[in-house]
Amino acid sequence: MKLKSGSISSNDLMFAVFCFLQATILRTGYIAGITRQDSWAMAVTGLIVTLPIVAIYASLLQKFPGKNLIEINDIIYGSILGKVVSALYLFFFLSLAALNSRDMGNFIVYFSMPNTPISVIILISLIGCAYCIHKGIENLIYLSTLLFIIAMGSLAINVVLGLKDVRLEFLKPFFQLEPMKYIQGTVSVAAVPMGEILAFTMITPMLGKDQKVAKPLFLGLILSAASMAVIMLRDILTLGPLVSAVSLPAFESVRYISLAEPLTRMESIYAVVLILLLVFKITVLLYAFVLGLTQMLSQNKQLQSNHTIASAPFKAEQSLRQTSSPPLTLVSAALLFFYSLFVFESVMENMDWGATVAPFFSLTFELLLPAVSLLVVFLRQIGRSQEVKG
Amino acid sequence: MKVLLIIIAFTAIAAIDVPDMTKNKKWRELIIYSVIFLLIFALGVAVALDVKIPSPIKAIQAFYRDVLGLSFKPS
Repeated sequence: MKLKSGSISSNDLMFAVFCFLQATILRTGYIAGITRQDSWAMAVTGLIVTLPIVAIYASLLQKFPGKNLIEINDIIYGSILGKVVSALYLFFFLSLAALNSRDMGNFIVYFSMPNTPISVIILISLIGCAYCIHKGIENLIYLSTLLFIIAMGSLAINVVLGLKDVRLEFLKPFFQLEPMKYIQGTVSVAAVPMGEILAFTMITPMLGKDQKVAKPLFLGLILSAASMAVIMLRDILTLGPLVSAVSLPAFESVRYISLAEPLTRMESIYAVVLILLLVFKITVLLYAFVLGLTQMLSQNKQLQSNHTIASAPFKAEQSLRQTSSPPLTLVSAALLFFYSLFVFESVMENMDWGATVAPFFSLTFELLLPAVSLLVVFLRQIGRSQEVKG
Repeated sequence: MKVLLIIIAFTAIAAIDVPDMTKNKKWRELIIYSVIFLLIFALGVAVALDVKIPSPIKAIQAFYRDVLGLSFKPS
């Protein structure tokens, strides 16, 4: 598995971030359950909280150009502690992939194919994900532009066709809930869908040394937040108080659309778009896991020595020196398949996790660990500059 | 039946991955690969035999909620 520096553009990455975040739109049910008719505002407040988090990733990636998260950990924490921190990140990526696979399986079983075993659905999807990685993740990143157009087109059509069912009074009363509810909603949006773009820190070295990392990450995030706000508004305005009662409001509101005989069952088309986005997201997460595991196990002495934070020499080619590593894509996909089967026994357990502990678990990896890494880098830089002065 | 399917699937995975490593005499990689392969194969057989495997996510949930006290109230 090789990272090809310069193989994707900033626009490709921006659309990929958008598609990755848009896949989680099904989970807006958690947010609607917390903040009800004010949920649309959580997309905005969640974005405000996520921007500094993404700034931390961008800062780390700019300090170590051409390096991904696992390589950065090795440089910052050293060979042994770096591997421990990297193993934690890999567990996080694998768990996210398993949870999303399970979500996708549940979605297809409950809404489209009730008699099909969930294991068959997850297996077929993961074969597709492994195939995408085998053919090169950059090809999937190129496809994200097309996926973006499809997702936005589908959203625009659904919003326009659903306008006749809109009732503005469903938005009222404005912001009358307890403040804690808004904090919970904001943290949940920031941690569960938005902060997960941490996975892209494994892909950004493909941008090449001349490309800036921050811009596509921020733009993808802002686009996705805008789209999320529109989707939540649509759901609230069409479903009303039901928005907090149904498990998948983003899907249920599309079910309302029925203009004439040929334009019924629009949700089937929307379901296909959602499944495509979920497969995209799972592939990115699986790729992050496989690449990280490969780098941890590969024999690359040069990568683990010779680096100092003060100089952090940029050689994107060093990322390519993964000359000796076992092929782990298929066994990792198999591991993900089994993990997704026993990660939760029921949808209720999954919902409980998503609404209560998941934001804190995610923030540990999305905020705490990267913030500590950045702090260590700054402290070492200060130490070195004082040594030079002394 | 499920175990048989797992054996067939893992035989196929090995047939795809292993020849390249043996042909190029990458013995270190083959050993690492074999260890990972066998661990995941064992996990697969356990899942196929309906052995109750504890979910790490549930353990994490209990740790964050009960030990660290970090949890939102269910709405």
